[in-house]
Amino acid sequence: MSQTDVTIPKKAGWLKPLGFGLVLAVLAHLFTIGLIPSVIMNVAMKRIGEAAGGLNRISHNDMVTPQNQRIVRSSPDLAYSTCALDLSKGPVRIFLGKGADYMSAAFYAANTDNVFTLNDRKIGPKGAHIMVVSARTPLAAKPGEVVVSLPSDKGLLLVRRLSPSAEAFTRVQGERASDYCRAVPDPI
Amino acid sequence: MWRWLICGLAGMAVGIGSAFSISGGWLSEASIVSGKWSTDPTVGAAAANPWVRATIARVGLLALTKEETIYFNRELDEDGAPLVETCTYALSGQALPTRWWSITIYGADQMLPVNTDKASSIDATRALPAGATSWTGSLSANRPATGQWLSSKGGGRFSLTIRLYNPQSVDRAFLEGLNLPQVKKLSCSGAVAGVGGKK
Repeated sequence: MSQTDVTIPKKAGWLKPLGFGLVLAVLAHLFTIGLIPSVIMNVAMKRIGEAAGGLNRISHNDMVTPQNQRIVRSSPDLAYSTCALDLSKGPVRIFLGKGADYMSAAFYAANTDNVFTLNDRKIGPKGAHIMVVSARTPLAAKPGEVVVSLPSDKGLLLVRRLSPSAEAFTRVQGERASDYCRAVPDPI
Repeated sequence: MWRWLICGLAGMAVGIGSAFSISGGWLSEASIVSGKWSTDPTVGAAAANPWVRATIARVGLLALTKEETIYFNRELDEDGAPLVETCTYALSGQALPTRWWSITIYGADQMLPVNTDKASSIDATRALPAGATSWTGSLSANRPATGQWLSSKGGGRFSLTIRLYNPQSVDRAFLEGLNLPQVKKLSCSGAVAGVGGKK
């Protein structure tokens, strides 16, 4: 029998399928890692927007307890106020009353990045006037307004005020009574 | 054909599973350690990499930058044993070079343990009245007769977070040298029901 008469059946090996699986594993890993922040942020923004009665509206939360907690790792020593920001139709104007103790206003982009934080040490006695814009928003900030630029149309404002007791919480309720967060109908 | 299908499905499962494991803190390696407390200095930073960002989204959504707040966490007592609801611990600490601090207890699900004790945290204003430079307290499932108390009721296997607001410095050496509160086990009883989650 000559060599040319011998035919060896081609075996389907595992090497290429394993390589395919490895590539899919890497892609699935990167895709999931990239997706987690925006999915979780969307859920948080949806809940916060619903609690406030819509986007670009400020919502003052009660003192955090095990029974009313909505976000992981909330602090029961802080009084939180939130505003789910939607800049797709223009900028948003915010006012925050000055706190007698620690307070901060943190702005988060849709990917969870904390893009700007203002605390009470930088807020004058009459409170903070803030205009939030996206990169493509026309801008006409008023004198004295702090301008915050988000890299996305969606974002979140989270205000923290020190409130470790019922007495402090009562004081904070007064401090934030005049706070607002609202879309600017005509920013120019 | 079935080999491709098996490998493809397995690959996707491994990829998605590893993403959730890592973002859940399974492989997290905090880079600044002070005693049994540790923190990741990239928390809250806009430049955080996608893995840190995914982890923060799951275990510390809406964190502040380190200049505003440093978040130190711990899951172990001073002897290196996991913090569990069935044990009673003694807490002790000193005044810290920060504007304000608070310690909060979180369960394995990163939420406050569900109880009605109104003792999920201890903060500087309560632990350190004017002039005081040190404090002591209890960490247990049952309210002590007196003193500062963190309730672990419903916490199972839990963790503690100390928030340091406007720290005097955010330098590594400064943070590693902080004299953060100690958690010493006093006694234990029974088994922990529903223990799970993180290590």
